[in-house]
Amino acid sequence: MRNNKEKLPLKYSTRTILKRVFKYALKSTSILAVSIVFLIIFSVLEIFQPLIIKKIIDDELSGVQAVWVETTANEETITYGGKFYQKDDGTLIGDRYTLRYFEAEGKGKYLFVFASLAEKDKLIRYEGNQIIVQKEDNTEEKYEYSSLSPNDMLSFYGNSSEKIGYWLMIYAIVAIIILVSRYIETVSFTSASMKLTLDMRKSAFEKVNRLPISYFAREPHGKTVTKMIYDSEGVRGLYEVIFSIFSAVVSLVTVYFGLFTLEPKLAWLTFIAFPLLYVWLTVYRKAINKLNQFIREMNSRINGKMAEFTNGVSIIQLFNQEKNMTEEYDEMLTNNYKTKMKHLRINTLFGYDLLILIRRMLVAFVLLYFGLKYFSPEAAVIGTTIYVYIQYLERLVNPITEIFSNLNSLEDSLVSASRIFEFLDEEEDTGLGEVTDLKLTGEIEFRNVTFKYVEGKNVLENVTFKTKPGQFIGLVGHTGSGKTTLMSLLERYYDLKEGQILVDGIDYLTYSKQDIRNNIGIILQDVSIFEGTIKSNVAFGLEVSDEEIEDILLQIGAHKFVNGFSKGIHTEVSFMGDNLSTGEKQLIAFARILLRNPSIIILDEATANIDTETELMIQKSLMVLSKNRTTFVVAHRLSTIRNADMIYVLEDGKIVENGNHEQLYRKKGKYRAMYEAQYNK
Amino acid sequence: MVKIFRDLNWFIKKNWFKYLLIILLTILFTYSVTLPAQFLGDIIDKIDRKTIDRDYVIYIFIAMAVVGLVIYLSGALKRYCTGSLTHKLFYNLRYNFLTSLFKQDADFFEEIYAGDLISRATSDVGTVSRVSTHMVFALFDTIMMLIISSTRMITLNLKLTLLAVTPLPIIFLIVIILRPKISQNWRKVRAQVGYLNNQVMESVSGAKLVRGFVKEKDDEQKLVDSATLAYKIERKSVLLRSIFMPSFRIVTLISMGIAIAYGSYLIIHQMDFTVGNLISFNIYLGMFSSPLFQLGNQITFIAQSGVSFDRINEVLDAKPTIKDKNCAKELMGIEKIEYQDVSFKYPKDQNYSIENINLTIKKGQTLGIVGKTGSGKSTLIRQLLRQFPITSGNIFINEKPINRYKKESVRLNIAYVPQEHMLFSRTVLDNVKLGISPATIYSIDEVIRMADFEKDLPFLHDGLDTMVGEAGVTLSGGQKQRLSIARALLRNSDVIILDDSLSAVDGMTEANILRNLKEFCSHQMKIIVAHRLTAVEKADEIIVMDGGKIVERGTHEQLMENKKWYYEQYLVQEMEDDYAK
Repeated sequence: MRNNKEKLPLKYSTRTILKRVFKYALKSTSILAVSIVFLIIFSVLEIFQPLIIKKIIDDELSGVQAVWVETTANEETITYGGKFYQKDDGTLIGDRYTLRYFEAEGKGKYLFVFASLAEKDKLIRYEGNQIIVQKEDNTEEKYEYSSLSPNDMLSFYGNSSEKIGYWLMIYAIVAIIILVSRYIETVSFTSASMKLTLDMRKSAFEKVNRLPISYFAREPHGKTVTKMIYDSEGVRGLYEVIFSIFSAVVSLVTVYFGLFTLEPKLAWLTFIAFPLLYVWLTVYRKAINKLNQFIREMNSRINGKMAEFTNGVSIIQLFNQEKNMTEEYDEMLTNNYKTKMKHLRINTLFGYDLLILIRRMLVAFVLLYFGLKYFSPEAAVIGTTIYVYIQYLERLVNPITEIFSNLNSLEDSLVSASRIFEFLDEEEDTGLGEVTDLKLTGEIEFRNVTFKYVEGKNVLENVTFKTKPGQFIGLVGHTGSGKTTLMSLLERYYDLKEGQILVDGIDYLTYSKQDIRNNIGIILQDVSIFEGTIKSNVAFGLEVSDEEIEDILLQIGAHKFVNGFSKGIHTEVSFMGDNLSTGEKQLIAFARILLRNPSIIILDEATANIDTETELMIQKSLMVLSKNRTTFVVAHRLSTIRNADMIYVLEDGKIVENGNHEQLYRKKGKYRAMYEAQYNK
Repeated sequence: MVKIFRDLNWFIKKNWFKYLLIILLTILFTYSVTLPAQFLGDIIDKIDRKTIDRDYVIYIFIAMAVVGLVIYLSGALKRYCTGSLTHKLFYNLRYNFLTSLFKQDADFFEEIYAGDLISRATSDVGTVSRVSTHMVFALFDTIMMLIISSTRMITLNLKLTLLAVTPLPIIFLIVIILRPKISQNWRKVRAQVGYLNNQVMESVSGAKLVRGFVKEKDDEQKLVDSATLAYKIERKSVLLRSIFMPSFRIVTLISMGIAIAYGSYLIIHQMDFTVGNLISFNIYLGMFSSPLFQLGNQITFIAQSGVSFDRINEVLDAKPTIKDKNCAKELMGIEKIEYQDVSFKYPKDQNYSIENINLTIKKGQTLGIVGKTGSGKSTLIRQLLRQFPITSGNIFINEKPINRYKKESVRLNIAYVPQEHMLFSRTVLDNVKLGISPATIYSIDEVIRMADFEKDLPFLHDGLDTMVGEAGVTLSGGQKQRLSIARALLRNSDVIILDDSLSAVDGMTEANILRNLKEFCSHQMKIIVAHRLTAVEKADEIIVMDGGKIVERGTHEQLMENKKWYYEQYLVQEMEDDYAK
């Protein structure tokens, strides 16, 4: 069984990745700038929101408990007991009174004391029709007072209702500006991150057609597609993390501005939380991320196994392997469960909940601080300050939790990014060149060609032969004998290291790759079909009329495409040609070639099982196609190359026999043996 | 919701304690969360009314700290219990899913395709485990919070509560209107990305063709256009999605405005409402509106998960068609197989897949089965393998009806080499080892030689230990076939079936294998299904199938004399030989 340890290679450092992503970001500077501007706007405005509430309460609601001065009537005064009073702002002249709430024996009411009391002066008890007040220096004084009825209180509140209405309007406007700003910020930021995906995909599309064919032979196609489509989406996470860090910083700055303005000492004290948070973030994050990665890998392995078992149910049942396979699966599931539980334990104790606990402790501490400060001889403490402070603390912790949750996806984004950058950095195909009007006649010569894909055995050894233009050449041999490789080299999918290939007498390296390929028509084992119509697949980018297509199809004997299907050549073809049979796909491939009229053709015969009828149809088409063209056929069925002008038999990369069918048959060598084996005489 | 409790009855019953604990913790948690607001209101009032003393401050501080800890602990424990239930359920469902799958017959897999099953096992199981635990409790959480916060608000002032809460139902309206639009839009986005995905897949698979035809630029442009379209569609979707939160906030803003306005009125008119009350009330109001917002989402999500439940239950509750009878015995070796008037058709089909099949094969004999694609060859075989039920007629093994024997023991006596080769992601050795049975006598090396796979070993860089399948190297069609044959040979069973398994090997290899079979498996019954008639030429009996019926039968010589389909096919396949001569 495969080892459980699978390391994710991160060839690129985080810094490199960020730098490269930044380059892409530069393409959307204006949108990002808009985002940043509005971010700052609403971050600043959000600081003012609690302050407005505070103002309403302090000035209009609690503010009724103040020192009032008896003056002459004006716009600011209220009426009580026939007299006019105005709140003392320190400059007024007149008799001073204090409005205070007093609670004795569980009963509380508002009193109008005939004196100017300081904040720290405490009402102690009633004595007759006077009230005992304890001063700051602990001495006691007696004052006269009158009780205020609810109606009296109403008078004192004066036009507070209007003022409150006014402030609520302000609040609403500020709130709406904030909402609009948030909306603009979100939309513009998301647009920028989507643009990132688009730009990365464009880079990938540009790259993919410059990669050498060896890349596609090496890498599973699915993986490549995933990189181009889904990893380019995954990179967005980086944007999100960076941006959330940025907005967190902006939040922090604005919040601390508010905190310091209100209560500097306490603000300094909150700094203690930071190192704690940092330690927690790093330690927790490291532990959790490792586990996350591990769980992700496990999950993909389990799912892979599930897929495998589902696809192979029949064999598993027929070989009585149900129990064994179930045990294998169970082991994986159990391990997965245990790891997830470990993750759960860490997450529960040290995760988000712990952060909230820290915040609540901070709040408790704030209450303690302000509560005790009340009893200190300094300036008075107003209750609403506590409220605002706590609101600010919430705004302090939220951005931190934002970063924290975004950091979880940071790892994923980094992996996606490094996968894409790895892809974009792949070595490219060289010598592509441009397409010219070059028309080859089709004389091909291989001289001492030796080749191997990787270190190890040579796939081709000293292959030498020469063909005349227009000849029909057959290549046969067992699996691994080198036939397909021979053709791949001719098509310049791989680079020749030893030996020479000459086309029309000239070393083919002097031509550009595109020119060579333009002159060779290839039909591969797996015919590539694209979504579209039969016509679009045959035309494959060329502008041709319907008649031309139909003519070609008839020439190769594909009558049913023209007449058989209801829509004829405009019949829809689904992705990868799923709705066509192998035979039909081959015919389309043939038609493509015929349309382009190259002087050289390579056919790599499909090994898939096709019925005799299709086989015959293909052979007939091949006859049409190979007229006056140098045709190479890598054959699996000897009947296909029966009429070849020349047949080369390959074994272990060497040409061991050559001649036409009759010559080779009579030779009674390897060809004869293969022939007999295939037809079992 | 009811569905969840019905379908997962067994799970809830087994873990009733945890479920109960979570409920209790949720109540404790939710209640505790509302306490700090109360403390805050109290302390503000005391400061406002100058009734505060030192003791009270200390008391509040300790109370807040204790409440904070209670919240943390109850929350953590709740989270842990919920998570453990999720993981446990997930484990159970995945395990049960596979075991159920292994019990099913071929007709089950014709109904639900592999891709669908895999998606159910992964995606749907995930959804169900999450919804039945996490989501259900989240919903309970939300409802609890709504109840407790509203109770608190009402305790402060009923009229204020009613006024402040009035605008909030608009949230539901917003959710109901916006949500479907957003989902629809989102689906469009994913569809386009899926389309793009397919296009890229075509280009990547067809790279050789694109290069060969020098179409690189056009191909690139096509992909760029498609990706740009995806971008444009997604941008539209973002504009819509981002409205969600702001619209919610506007409603809560109005609600809060009403609360402050009327709350101030109460204070000014001395109607038993204080400044502290106002602040506490506002906090409770926030605790009420957030859950309201989530409620819609949660209910929708849980409701939509019903589909996933159904999809999983379809598999978990499935019963195999072919069940062993209680009196079924073990099969000890196969001496003779007889088909007597065997017919089979799918319930939904008009025509029979096989009709009136009559066959006899004895130990040591070889049966060849040929015919066009779709003539019923495989169906015939699968009856024997007990993968398809018999509609009429019967198969007799050793003179007894096949259903007298246990399904599994019948299979134990047969080695099957399939047409579509299935290799598992493990070493070559481990793959072959799947064929080990109590009857195995040959070693791994021996069967590898017999299957003509020995010559392939040098090409595999780790030899027998080379990883194959998804995670390893891709073997050629011929190599896969030969490995499958080796696996079957290892079983050393009384019957070996080659179901068109020689199509991908060349003539020489085919000859080698057939020769080895003849030599080493002479005591075994061999059933060979083939397209190439050379594979069955030496059989004791060859049957030709067409439209589910046997249309010709006999030895090779007899069939050649018959001058019907077999004769013609043979000539076509041999055509060149006459010509060459």
